[in-house]
Amino acid sequence: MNKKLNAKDFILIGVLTALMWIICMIISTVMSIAGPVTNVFYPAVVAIPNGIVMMLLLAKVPKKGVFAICGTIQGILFLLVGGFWLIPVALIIGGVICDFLIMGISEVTMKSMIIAYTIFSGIFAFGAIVGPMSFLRNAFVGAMEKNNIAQEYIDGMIKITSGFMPVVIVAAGLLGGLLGGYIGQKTLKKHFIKAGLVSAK
Amino acid sequence: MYQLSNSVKLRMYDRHMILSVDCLNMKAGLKRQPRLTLEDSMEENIKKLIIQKQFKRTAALDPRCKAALLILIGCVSYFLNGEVVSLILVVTLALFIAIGNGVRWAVKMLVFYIIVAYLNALLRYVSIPVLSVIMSVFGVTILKLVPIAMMGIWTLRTTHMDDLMVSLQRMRLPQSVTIPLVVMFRYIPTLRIEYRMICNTMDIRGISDTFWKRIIHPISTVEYILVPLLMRCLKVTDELAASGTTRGLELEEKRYALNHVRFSWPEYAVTILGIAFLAALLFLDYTSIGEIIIWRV
Repeated sequence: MNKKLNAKDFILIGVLTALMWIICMIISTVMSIAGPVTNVFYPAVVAIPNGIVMMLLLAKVPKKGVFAICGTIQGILFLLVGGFWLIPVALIIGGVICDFLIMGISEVTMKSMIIAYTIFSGIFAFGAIVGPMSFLRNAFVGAMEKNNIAQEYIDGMIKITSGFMPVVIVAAGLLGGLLGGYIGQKTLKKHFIKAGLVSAK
Repeated sequence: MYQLSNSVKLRMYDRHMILSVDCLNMKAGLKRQPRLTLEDSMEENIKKLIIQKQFKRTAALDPRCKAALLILIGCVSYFLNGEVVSLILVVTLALFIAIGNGVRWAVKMLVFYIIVAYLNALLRYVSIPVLSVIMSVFGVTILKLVPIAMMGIWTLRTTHMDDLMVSLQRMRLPQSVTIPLVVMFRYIPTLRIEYRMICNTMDIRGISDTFWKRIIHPISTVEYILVPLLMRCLKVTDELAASGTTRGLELEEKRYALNHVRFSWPEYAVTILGIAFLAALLFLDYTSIGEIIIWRV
C-alpha cells in the first residue's frame, strides 16, 4: 500500500478542512456572543461535529501527515481571519504531535484515531482559550473595557479563567474530542462503511 | 503533441475556461487544419482567455501582498479601541478596495459599518437585563470583524486561484500546503451552494429545517446536514482530483505564469505603507484622538 500522500489526498484534506473550519467559525461566533461561560467552552463543542469530519478524513486517508497538514491549514486561516497568534501555533504543534507520536507508531486503527483526535482537541482548547487568557489578561481586559463591552461580561470572563478553570477547560476540550470521535465513528459505521465509501479497521 | 501538453500543464485553469477552449479546439479540429497550427491556435486561445479577465490597479497586486495586508489588519483591528481610529481604518480600506474593482462592495461595507456603529451607540440607552450584554458584545464583535471581512472577501474575489498557487510555490511552500489551501479557498463558496441544495431536498421530503428545530435537535441536525454534505465532499474530491491531475496539479516542477506574479516595487511600497499606516493608527489610539466619541445619538 502506498504510504505517501498524493494529490487526491491533498484535495480531500483541503475540502474537508474547509468544512471543519466553517463549522468552527459558526459555533465559535455564536458561543462567544452568548456569554462568557459558553465562550470558554467553545473548543469542546466545536470538537463534536468536527469529530465526524475528522474521522471520515482519517478513515479515507490513513496515512502519516494528515493531522499536521490539517492543523497547518486551519492555523493559516485563523491567522488570516485575525485570530490570536497562539491558536495557529497550538494547531500546528498539536497536529505534528498527533501525527508522529500516535499515527507514527502503529497502523491507523479506530482506537488510535480517537486518541489522536482527543489530544488534538485538548491542545486546541489550550491554544484558543487558556493560553491567551493567562498570558495577556491585562491587554484583553483593557481592550474590552475601552470597547464598551458590558462590565458583567468582563467580570464573568475573568472569573471563569482564573484558579482551577484552565484545567477544567482543557479537560472539557479532551472530553469534547473523545465524544466527537465516538460519535464520528458511530456515524462512520452507520452511513459510510455501510455504503462502501470507506473501509476502516 | 509535446508542445500542447506542456502548455496545458503550465497552469491549472480552474475557471471553467477549459471547457470553452475544448469546444474551440473541437470546432477547429473538424476543419482538418494541420496539427501544428491547431496547437498554436489553441495556445493562443488559452492565452487570450487568461489575459482577457484582468484586474486593475490594487486588485492586480501579488496575492502574497494582499495576504500580508490581511494578516496585519487582523492583528491590528482587535486592538484599536478609539472610534475615530477604527473609522479611519475602515474608510481607508474602503478607498483601497474601491480603487481595485470593488467599488460596490466597499460602499456596502462602509454603510453597514456606520449603521452598526450607530445601533451600538443607541444600545447604551436601553437596558434589558441579559439581552443588552449579549447585544453589546455582538455589536463590538461585528465592528471589529468588518475590516477583516471586507479585505478578506475582496481578496478572495480578486485573486485567481492559479495566481495564488504560483505565488505560494514561489514562496517555496511544499505541495502538501499549497494544494489543500488552494482547494479550500476554491471550495468555501461552493459549500454554501451545497448547503442550500441539501435544505431544498429536505423541504421536498418534508423534513423542513427551521432555526427552532436546529436548536431543539442538534444531533439530528448534524446528522441530516453533515452526512449528505460529507457525501458530496467525497464526490467533489473525486471530480476535482481528476480535473486537477489532467491539468498538471501534481507536477513538482517550477511553474510559469502568463499573469505577472512577482513581488516587485509596487508590492513593497504597498506593504511598507500599510505597516506605517497601521502603526500610526495604533499610536494615535493612545493619544487623545482615541478618546473622541463620534457615535452619539
